[in-house]
Amino acid sequence: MSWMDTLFRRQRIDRQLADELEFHIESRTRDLVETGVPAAEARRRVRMEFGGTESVKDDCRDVRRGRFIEELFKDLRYALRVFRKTPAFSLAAICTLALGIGACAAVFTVVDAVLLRPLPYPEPDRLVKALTKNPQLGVKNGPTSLPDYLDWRDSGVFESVGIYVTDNAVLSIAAQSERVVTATATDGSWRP
Amino acid sequence: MPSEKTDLLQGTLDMLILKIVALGAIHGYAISQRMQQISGDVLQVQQGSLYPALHRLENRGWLRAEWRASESGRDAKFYTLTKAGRKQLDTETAQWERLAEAIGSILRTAE
Repeated sequence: MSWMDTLFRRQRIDRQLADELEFHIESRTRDLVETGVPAAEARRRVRMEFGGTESVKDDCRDVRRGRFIEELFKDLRYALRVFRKTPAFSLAAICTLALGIGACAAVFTVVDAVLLRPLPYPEPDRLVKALTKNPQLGVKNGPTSLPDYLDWRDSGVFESVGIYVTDNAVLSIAAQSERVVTATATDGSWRP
Repeated sequence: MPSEKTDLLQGTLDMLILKIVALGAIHGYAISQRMQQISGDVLQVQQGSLYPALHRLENRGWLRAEWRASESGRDAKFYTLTKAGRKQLDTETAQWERLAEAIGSILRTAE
């Protein structure tokens, strides 16, 4: 768990940094008090000399951060060198990664479009598709009868209800013909 | 005590820190005090410069840090010089002497 190491290491470094500066402030205050300066005055003077512990800490952290970036570039240069030295292995590794990442991205694109992304209509959370169940006939998600539709429409449960039925047709334009899916729907299907 | 305090030249702080640490393991506060003492109160290093410099030198591998009890009994971060640090100090000292010599020769030139 290297990221945990990094996290704890950073915490430890920050704590040590605070301790180090605190030690300095304490020692300086004690030395001033020994020369005859009253304790409160000594503390005030040391705070002023120090000029903001936090900014000193920030500067110390920047030093380490700069180091981190330097090391990163060194690692990158090293990686490139190794690539050049063992091209076959590098190519195999790169292809494996590329295919793996590509496949994951493709699958996710489909899942995202089909399952995750909301329907492209206003207030998609208020849209429902109603289906009929008939256990006697063993129908689970069956079509709806006209009387059922009329009952649903007049029940007041839905703001608007529409039914549709799909069919197939052949569309011919000039010399070209194409099979298309058609739908016949009631006006409730288009209510805003 | 002379009232005139001279600002450190850019780049000389690292060299002075390395030199003082070379005299023996020492913590940050003592470094600032020793620098002031040895220079006869002419040079005073600000904490805002001292600590980032110490961390920089430690990161470069020129100083090694170690926590141990200080003279007051409290734990303090003591710095010691590494082998690389010793080499760096020698290089910087030689460079400085050459530079000071060159500047001195120019300034001593009779008008």
